[in-house]
Amino acid sequence: MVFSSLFFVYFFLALNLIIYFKTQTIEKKNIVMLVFSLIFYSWGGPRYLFLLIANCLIAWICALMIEYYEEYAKLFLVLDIIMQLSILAIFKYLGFFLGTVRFFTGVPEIIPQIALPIGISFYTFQLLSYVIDVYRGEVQAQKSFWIILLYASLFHQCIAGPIVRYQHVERDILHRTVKRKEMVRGIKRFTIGLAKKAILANGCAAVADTFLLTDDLQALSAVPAAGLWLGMLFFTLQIYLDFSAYSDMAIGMGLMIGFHYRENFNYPLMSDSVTDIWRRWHISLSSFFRDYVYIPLGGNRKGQGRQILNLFIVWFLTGLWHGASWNYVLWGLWFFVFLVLEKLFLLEKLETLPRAIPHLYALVVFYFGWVLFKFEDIHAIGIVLRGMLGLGGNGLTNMQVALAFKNNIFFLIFAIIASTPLLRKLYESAGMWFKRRKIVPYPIYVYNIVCPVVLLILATIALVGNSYNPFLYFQF
Amino acid sequence: MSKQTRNRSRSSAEKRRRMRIIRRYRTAVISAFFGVLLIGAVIGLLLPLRPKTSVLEKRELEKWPAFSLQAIWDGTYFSQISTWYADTFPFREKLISADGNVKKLYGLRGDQIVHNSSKTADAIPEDGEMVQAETKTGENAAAESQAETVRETEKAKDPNGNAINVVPEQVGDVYVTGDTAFSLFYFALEGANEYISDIDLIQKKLDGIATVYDILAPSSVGIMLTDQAQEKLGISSQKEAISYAFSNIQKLNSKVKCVNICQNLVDHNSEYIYFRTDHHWTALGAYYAYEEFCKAKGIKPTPISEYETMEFPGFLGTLYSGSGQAASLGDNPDTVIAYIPKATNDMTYIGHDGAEYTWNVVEDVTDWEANSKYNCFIGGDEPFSVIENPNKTDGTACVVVKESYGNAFVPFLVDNYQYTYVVDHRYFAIYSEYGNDFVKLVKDKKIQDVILLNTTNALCDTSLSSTMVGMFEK
Repeated sequence: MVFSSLFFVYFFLALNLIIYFKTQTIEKKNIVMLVFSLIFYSWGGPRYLFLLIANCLIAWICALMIEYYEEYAKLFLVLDIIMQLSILAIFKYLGFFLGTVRFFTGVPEIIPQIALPIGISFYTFQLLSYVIDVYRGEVQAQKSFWIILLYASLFHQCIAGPIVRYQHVERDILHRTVKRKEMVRGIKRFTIGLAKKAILANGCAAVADTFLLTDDLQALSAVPAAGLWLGMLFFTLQIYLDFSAYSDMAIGMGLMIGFHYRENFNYPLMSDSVTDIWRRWHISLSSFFRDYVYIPLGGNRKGQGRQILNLFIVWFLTGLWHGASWNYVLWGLWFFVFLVLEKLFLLEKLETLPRAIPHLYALVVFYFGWVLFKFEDIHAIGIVLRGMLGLGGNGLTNMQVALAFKNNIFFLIFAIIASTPLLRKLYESAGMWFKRRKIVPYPIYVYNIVCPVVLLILATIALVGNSYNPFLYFQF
Repeated sequence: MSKQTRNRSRSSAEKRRRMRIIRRYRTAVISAFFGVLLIGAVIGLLLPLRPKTSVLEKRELEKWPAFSLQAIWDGTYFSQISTWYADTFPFREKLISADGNVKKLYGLRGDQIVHNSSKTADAIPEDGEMVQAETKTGENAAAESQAETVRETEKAKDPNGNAINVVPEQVGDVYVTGDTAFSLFYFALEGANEYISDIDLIQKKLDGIATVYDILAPSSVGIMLTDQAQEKLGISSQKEAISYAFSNIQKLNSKVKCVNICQNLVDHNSEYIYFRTDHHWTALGAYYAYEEFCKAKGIKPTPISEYETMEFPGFLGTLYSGSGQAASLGDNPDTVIAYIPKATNDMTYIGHDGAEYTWNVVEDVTDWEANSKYNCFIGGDEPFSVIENPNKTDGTACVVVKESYGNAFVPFLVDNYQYTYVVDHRYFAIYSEYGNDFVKLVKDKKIQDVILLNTTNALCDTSLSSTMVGMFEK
């Protein structure tokens, strides 16, 4: 199930909230959340529910063992990591690995087709962080298996992040209370996320898909240069709006019932350097790699050579985490190159320049990164890069591009504004204006009452519009 | 009371007042949101309000899935419930037109291209030689192992992936300029080559039994726009596509009589030969095709002035819905003008339920829905129809093998034959009498002329050719 579907919003979530608020004790509330989460997870087929449960069992037992047999703590930690990563490797990377082996050696002939269990990359990392944190003594092992299962499967964040750490939500799981102030914030955050996804991200996808044809290389090489640039621009916006919308919705739904998830995005399009991008983009993932890979490997404490190697490992893995294909690895390494340059000298240089220049540099790196991300076929990446320079005999522009641009010009401007903190800044300064004058901010109250409702209705309209699918010939 | 305490009590009273306002404000936010959410939830549960079909989109909406353990296990059961829920949401048509109104704000939408497909054009081989299509690469690389965030996007985009299982074709990309819409044409080599070999095969199956005429009807974009304008749009030339098909059919099989109607249509493109809001040609457009057919057969066409006509204004066709209901089209509907055969206006047809009906060649559709006025011709797309000309006793008989473009064409033939039969190749299998055996039909009815009439869509993929050739596999 996806958050941005009518069924989720008007059936699943509505029912979940009604039952949740009718339930009295925290234990019962947790049972409600667990049951809903397991149903949510099984919606795409219950097959992989068993895998999720098995993963949780492993983490639950290993964490308890680590605490109980202190002298063997390391053993159980290693055991847990090996088991969790093996499951991830088999279900996500086996086909990719064998495909690469076959490319070089010609064997094996048959590559097993394993469907990717939904959310496996997210919940595996969550469970890993839990066990490692127990090992590090940062959090106590949880005695109840159901709590661990709830932690990993909680439908707010199970399938698309943020990667929540157990130590950050333990209190909320066991003792949360709902504050009306937070619920108000949660409602606003959720509806913003829903509208962002249903209207902006889906709208950007529609334009991007017109030009970035992933399944037909011949057609792709005929797309004129301006079409590719425009398509990549919409794709860049799409992927940010889409992904951050999911985090908005997760954070919002969490606040409605007393969970506090950490921010996952902080306006990455405002970055001044690649280092800055990764402080603002998918924060829960980059901090996972920082805390559980980079620093344990020695970080920057073992000399420059070792630091660069550590960065390489981290960015290789970050790329690979996004998908089982070499283009994602390339995408990770693309950032690695700039991060190393920045560490060596570039960052210092950038700081001396007027702000617009580092900002532009960061955007360019970010933008071209998505070319690597969008196309799993390496040939397609070549075609697009050549095509963007007009070297593919594809022409500079055509009427389709001009019309797509003209037809979506206001939408594009709005999508860009929505990717910056501009609207939030305006809202905050309006709040300050009232505060300074000690006036009750009635206009802001009205805005906050109306805004979620309008966004919810607009998102609903857009979601119904998505199912508009006219056919030429049809006999009833 | 000292001044200080008075101030303090005033400010604490003020504080309490503020807190009360804030409490009320929070209650308002929460109740407004949950109110709308619950109203939506209740509406979503009102099953009788859920539409089953969409008149505008010409399709049946998703149904509640059939129960099976297999479907539950692989997840299709539940995902189909989500799809059903979204696809048949109450007030669907109203919400969709609201969506259209929101999208109008996206940009300057005077001229626009509405993308309903991700089709693109193959180059048409220039020297006319038959060229084999390359297998398209990269297909397997598609959706399967995308990053997870992107995967969610892809899924949400196509909630109707499995809604349709019959031959119907999706509205292609629609180009709207002023009050006129065009369906964009993308040539596909594989589809064209399939068509070429199928026509050859069909003639061979009918060799010595009947004469095979082949007509390819171009859509409006290839006739009404100049070559330069078509090139700018990045679409394929239908004139070139048709000559590629016909020259190769003739090379394979000189017995097929290919009737090229392009030039005659272009010569008359200042007349009302195509609808502006629908992908079909008008009856007048079909008449110019009839003229060319008569030329090929060596007979004299009935002059257009001799027919009685009927007019049905207020027609808003497929391109109107395909454009996302562009206002410039909605404000300027088409008029369907039908020419009634001189000999008779009576016909019979076999319906989709297999039963026989009597009907009119040109039916009065004045009171029909705005989007179904094209159905005035020969009862629309029926599996099998017969029109008998009472003025003739010479035993002449033809059969038109067609899709919907044929409907406007058939009435003109009525005066030239004693029997005019019509077969919609997409549905002929429904007619149990022949079990989809077309050759048997031709023999039984002693038909001399077999007229194959398809749009150039037949050159864009293999679906039309395959239903047509399916009738010859017995």
